[in-house]
Amino acid sequence: MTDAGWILLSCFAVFLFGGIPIVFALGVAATIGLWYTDIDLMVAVQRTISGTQSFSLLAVPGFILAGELMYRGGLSRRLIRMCYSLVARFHGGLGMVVVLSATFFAAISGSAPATTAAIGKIMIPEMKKRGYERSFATALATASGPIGQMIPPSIPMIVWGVISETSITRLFLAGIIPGLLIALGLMLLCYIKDLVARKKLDSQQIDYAEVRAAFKDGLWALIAPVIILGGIYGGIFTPTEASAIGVAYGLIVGLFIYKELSWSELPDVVLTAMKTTTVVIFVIATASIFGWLVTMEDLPNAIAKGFVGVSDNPIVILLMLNALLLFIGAVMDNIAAMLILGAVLTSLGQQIGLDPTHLGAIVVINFAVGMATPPFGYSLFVGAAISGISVEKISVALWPMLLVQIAVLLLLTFIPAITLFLPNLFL
Amino acid sequence: MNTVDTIGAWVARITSWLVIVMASVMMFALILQIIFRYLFNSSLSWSEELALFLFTWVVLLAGSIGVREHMHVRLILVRDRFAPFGRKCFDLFAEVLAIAFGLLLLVKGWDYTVATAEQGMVSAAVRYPLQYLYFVAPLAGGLIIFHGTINILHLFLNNKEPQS
Repeated sequence: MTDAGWILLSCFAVFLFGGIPIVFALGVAATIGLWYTDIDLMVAVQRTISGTQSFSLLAVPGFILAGELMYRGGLSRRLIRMCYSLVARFHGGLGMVVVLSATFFAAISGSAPATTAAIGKIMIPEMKKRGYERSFATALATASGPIGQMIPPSIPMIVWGVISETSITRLFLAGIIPGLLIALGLMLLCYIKDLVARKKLDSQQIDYAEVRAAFKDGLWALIAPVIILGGIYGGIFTPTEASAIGVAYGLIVGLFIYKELSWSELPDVVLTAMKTTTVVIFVIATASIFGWLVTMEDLPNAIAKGFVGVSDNPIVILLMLNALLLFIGAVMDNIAAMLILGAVLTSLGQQIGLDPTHLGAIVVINFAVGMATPPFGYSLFVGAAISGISVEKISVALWPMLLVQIAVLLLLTFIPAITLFLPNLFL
Repeated sequence: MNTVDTIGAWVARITSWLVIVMASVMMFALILQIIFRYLFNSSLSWSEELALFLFTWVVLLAGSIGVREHMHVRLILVRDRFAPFGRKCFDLFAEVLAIAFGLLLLVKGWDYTVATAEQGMVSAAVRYPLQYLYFVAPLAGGLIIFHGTINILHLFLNNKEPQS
């Protein structure tokens, strides 16, 4: 490795662990690297600006705003009511409601913490009221969050698609089956736990009148994903345009149909969504200075070669890759991790002959699970903030759920069909 | 300090409103693009470039608000192992580096904007002068320096224990 490479990486490591916001750690470390190699620092500004000039990335503010509008417009509450009318009567039914409504919400939202917040705010107090432990309810809302970024739309898949130049529409489809598998596993967990521990159920009868009423009321919440995903896969619009359609739909339903959204709160909704957007995109902007220099110094191939050199056995390499991604996902922000490691991971994928869509799914879903994994996961923080109990307490109840997710991760790593079946079927 | 805080709050407020208006126009342009393509069968030439122009502005301006509101993601595993005084040193280091990046955006961003204007570079489709796009860099740089400095003043004047 060259001197500039060492300086770049060691500055970044010091800044990162020194608690510098990642966006500035990347920007300043790269600037020091540029300065050392005598490249005009104007390049840094130029890369920052051009890092944001991507039409595909425009889907990020779109989907974030659409999700925020639909949450405030009362769509998440109606999704919960529908799920409640269907599964609440089973053993572990309330827990299943959390998982199932998170899965439906995932088809509107592309973010794990947003999914945890939308479902958790309503369901954690409800489960507490019905005699569930607060730690279990919170852990379940936390563990259901990652489903939000596996089932399309998905913010991390958009970002990974842009940085690795993989088709976003294919990546979206690759996440569906793993997301459903995790939902199924978590629901099974709720069922078994309740079967063992609780004996009395409120009611075994299904109330058809309530099911009908709930679905009639919630119809508009079910149509949203049909329009968004139908539009993308029907070839009618791009993911970015689909996100704008989602915004328009969320506005119309919230303002005129459910009437839970008022004109006066719109500026605040837009501002909140744009702040969330900036946390993601500003990092991408400064990471593109970093990425440019890193690629100039040919670091990614060197690191990937070192990684592949450990073993000739692809299974060992894949297991190492999963362990590494899970660990990184557990200790740091997943968008930043993708940006820093993107070039290394794509180079690694090429060297061991992994399908780019499969690689993308492995990366995004590992990091999605990291969102719920202690010590550092946004879903976990959101869950803790809603319920007011400590991360340690949630973690105890969370482990069995994380094992379900890790099991699905191993399945999708070694059985490519789980991720590639749908993309190959439709595209 | 109160006056400084009031000015800081006003600057953030004006920035927020700029972000809200620009983001709304950005979304509207995208929606219009689809409407025109399917209902009027004609593709708009300007919608994509306008949306991207606004996108860059929104991200950099909101990024400066992020400095003020400590929104940007950071790793605090190491920092939180220290006593309050140590944490303050970490926080100071973070603000200093934010200001350093702000300076880069301000100085080099201004040079870049001027250089672009002198060369008369224009965008691909609408052919708007590109210095209007690049001007957000020095502007956001200045705002980052401004909010970062206020944060540092708070670190020194405020005796409250830093949050973890």
